[in-house]
Amino acid sequence: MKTKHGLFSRMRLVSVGVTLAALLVASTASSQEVAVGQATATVLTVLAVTATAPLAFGNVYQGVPKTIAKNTASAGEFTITGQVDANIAIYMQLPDYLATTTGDDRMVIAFSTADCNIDTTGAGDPTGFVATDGWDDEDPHNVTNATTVGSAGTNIYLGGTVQPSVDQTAGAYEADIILTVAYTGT
Amino acid sequence: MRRQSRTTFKGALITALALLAFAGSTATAQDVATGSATATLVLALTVTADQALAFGQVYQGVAKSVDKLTTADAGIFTITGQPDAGIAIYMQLPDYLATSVGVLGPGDDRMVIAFNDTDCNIDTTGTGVPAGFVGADGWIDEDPHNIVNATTVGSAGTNVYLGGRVTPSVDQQAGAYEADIILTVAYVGI
Repeated sequence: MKTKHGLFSRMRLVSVGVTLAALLVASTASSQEVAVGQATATVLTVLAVTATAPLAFGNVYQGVPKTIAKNTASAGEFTITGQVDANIAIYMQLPDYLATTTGDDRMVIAFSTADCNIDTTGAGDPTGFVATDGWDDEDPHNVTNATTVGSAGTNIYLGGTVQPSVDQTAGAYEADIILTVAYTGT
Repeated sequence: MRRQSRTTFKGALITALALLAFAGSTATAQDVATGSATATLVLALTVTADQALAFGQVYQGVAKSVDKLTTADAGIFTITGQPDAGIAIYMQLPDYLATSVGVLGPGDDRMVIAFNDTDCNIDTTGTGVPAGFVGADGWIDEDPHNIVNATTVGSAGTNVYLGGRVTPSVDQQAGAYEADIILTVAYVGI
């Protein structure tokens, strides 16, 4: 038979238990927190380089060297576009010879240490280039001067000399000139 | 007849006396005390992302690092709660930034991000200034992938400073990239 005392005891324990449970729920809600931050970056204008005009020696004669100056309309031309005023590194892979399409003859080609102009005006005109437009008389084997991307792009003008042998096979000759450009991050 | 009455009276008297005795002993044979169970909930733990880890402008093919001591660019989280309470910190770090959040589609690109094992400082002074942090202010050169040192909530809060490094590819697509860094903090109960 339940006594009044027993009922009171049971009620008291229940109320304490409810209170403790409430406290436990409250502590669970605030015992862990999460925040979401971010990492951000902006990649600047993509660097692009195109071969605009070949270094064209035209007609050549057996045994007669022929030179194309870097400031003539026949000069080789590359165009570089990208983030304006960003510094870039330039590397040119130059051929040692031109070859026929069938590969049965070769003609020597050479580049002097001053056969390259770098025009940051983006004019794309080798004949109009002056030293103040960028860098003149550069060594195409080793372009060391810091170069930047001009607001209208940057042009590379390239000259060279071919040396046909006296028994050079008649026909068309060609070779690749590979220009590699990269941002330096400055 | 008279004997029965005397017996009845005696029984009643005995019963009354017994009841009186019992009443007296009831007053002293049992007592009640009310105790209590108490608890005090400490300050709620909060964590906020105050500043993004900002690499700014990056170039194709040119890796870029942000030092955890760089006030303007380091990632900053702030933790507040019960001063001197022990807390456990876990950072969920991204493997790459992307041009869009969520599922990548055509035209999207990713850029690798990396964190070395010293790219995190934990500042218990609550100043929130990465450049001013020194080793005595908390824990220095922590591994953000695995923060093992016991950490406490400072009286003015605790800051977590984060550095990192992005490595754009040479043909990285131009544009804005982002990624989430998720910081989870919990009391350890000491």
